[in-house]
Amino acid sequence: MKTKNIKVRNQDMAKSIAKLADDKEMIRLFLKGKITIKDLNERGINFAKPI
Amino acid sequence: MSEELISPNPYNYSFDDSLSAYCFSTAKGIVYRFAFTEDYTFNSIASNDEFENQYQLIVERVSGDSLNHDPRIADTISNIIIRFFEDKRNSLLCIYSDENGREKHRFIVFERWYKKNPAKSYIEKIDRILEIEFKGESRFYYTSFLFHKENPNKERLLEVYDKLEDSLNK
Repeated sequence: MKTKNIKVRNQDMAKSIAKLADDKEMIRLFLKGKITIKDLNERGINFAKPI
Repeated sequence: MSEELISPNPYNYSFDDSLSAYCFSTAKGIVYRFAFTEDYTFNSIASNDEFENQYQLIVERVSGDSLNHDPRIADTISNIIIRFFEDKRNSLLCIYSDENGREKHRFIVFERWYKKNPAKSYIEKIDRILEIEFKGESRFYYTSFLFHKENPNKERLLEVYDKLEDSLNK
């Protein structure tokens, strides 16, 4: 496994990655029907149809 | 796509326009939904919009309990990923969910899937474990980046991916 541990010191990047992870949890809530697509749109999350 | 790369017994899935997400049901009536979202991580590092076809994939069980092991679920997800990489320009960033503190477990399970899947002959997977100190707390994020080995933008993707560490530590 090509695994590398990285300690993130850049606070802007740390914030971006934390947002990515939070967005993912929001999408999971949406798929479960607990929040609306409007909630996702407000966070700038765009769904795609690549397949 | 060669037939041997298609997983043996996947469930059929369909796209739900009202959700902009895909759905499938298991033989026991458990419903799964999955969605692709556009990902801009590489563009934010490169400071321009040169990268397209970058996505995240989120899979969620929305009804029922997974009390019994059903290998067809893994077959279905495998099939989705194989279909996704029919377009060689596509790439996938995975951040493993920390629900119930099982992000490391999900990371290992996905690695196990990857190692035994014939698709690894043309899908490259690179893993990174990010330790992030943010708002006074330290958290670990388990991530993987997947791309087609014949991605026409492969060299540039790897170049920017290598910059990821620098960008994270500036």
